[in-house]
Amino acid sequence: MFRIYMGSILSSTEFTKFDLGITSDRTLSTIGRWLKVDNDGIVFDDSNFNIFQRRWRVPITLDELIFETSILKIGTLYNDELRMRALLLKIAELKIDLIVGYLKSQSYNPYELIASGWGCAQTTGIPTVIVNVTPPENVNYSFFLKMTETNDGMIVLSDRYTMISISTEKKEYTQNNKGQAEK
Amino acid sequence: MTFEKILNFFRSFFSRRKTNAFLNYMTHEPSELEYVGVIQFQHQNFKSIKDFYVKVLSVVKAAKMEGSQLVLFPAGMNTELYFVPEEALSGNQISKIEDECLKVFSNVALAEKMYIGYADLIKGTKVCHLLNGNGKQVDGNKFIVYNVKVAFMNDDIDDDVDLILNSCLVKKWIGDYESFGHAWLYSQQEYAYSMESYMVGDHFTGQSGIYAPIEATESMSGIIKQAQSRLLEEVLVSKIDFSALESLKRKRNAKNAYTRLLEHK
Repeated sequence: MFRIYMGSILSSTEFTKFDLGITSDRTLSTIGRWLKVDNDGIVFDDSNFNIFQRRWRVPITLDELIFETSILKIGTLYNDELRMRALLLKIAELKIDLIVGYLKSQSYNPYELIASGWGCAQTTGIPTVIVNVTPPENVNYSFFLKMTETNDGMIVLSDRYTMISISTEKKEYTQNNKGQAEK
Repeated sequence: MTFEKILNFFRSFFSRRKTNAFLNYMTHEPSELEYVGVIQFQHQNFKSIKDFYVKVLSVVKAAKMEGSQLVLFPAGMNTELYFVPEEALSGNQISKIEDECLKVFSNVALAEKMYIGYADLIKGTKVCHLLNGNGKQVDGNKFIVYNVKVAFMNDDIDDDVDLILNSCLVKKWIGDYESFGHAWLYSQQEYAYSMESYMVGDHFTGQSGIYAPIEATESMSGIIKQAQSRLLEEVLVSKIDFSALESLKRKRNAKNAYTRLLEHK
């Protein structure tokens, strides 16, 4: 079981742009695995002095997209990459547990979120978190899964802060929704 | 006297206009693909090939009246001619029905000078067909319809295709977002227009539509036209502005920068 905390529920002042924490039952929740964004790209910091960064550029190797921790293998995709079918099909082969997509938009558009996040989850089959940044500095989070016979895969569509629990054994997902996004 | 003159003038004016419009309609041969149509086809077991022909012809005429130059039918058109379940048919009977179905579409395409796409379903496998305005089947995986590169939807679509055709049989409804599966999603991932057609009626449900990349639609939804009903027959026709894709080619070209990454093992 691991949990993904999205948004200011973390009350973290340490990171200025966005907060995304991932914890597992095997670790204390205070020791999170955090993602933040800076001028060079997305930074992954597991609070164990391991810092990994994906820069704002076309990656040369697929390894540049992947942050591997003791509990999770996370793939990070930027903007248009979330809609590149050939790339998504390649990612699907890498046995990744979670995709974190960073999507910068001109304005809030649910269709763009569905195309990028839901589409990514359908094509790769991998749970996908979308960090959607809209002007001036609004950050909203979405979470998508591959559609099944009982679930359309739309778990969270654009919330300011929320928490998802993922049971890796049973593949069960529950949401503790702390509030709705201010649209 | 003057009133009669005026009346006659208007009579001849409108009758001339009507005749000219009709002649234009009959003789106008467009050089570019502008209007496309999707047939959300009402399932019914046809008692004869003639009945099937009449039905196909009538919906194609309806699409043509709205200006459509290319129409897409759903998958499983051959099964409309099955008189018993497929399991009870011999291999010869199945291929004979497939041929009859092709003849019907070929005759309609020729009669209406229309490109027609459809798919047969043979033992669960989709077999796609595209017929040109001469009623001839166009071979290959990628077709040129007027000036546009067209392909049936599959996992191997070239990046330069501008219009994707998806003939489907039935859609299972899990939630509202299911509408965004298939063709709509392909439009977003391939930056191309797409047409999707479903069979409806009896136990069939679906929602046909004509889609575009979200950036090419004013509403930023990627939906150009979508059937209002999931159960009833509809003919959807829409104008497509292929020049709108030009600005999206930058995004398509951006994909080329990833070629090296995708080749990386």
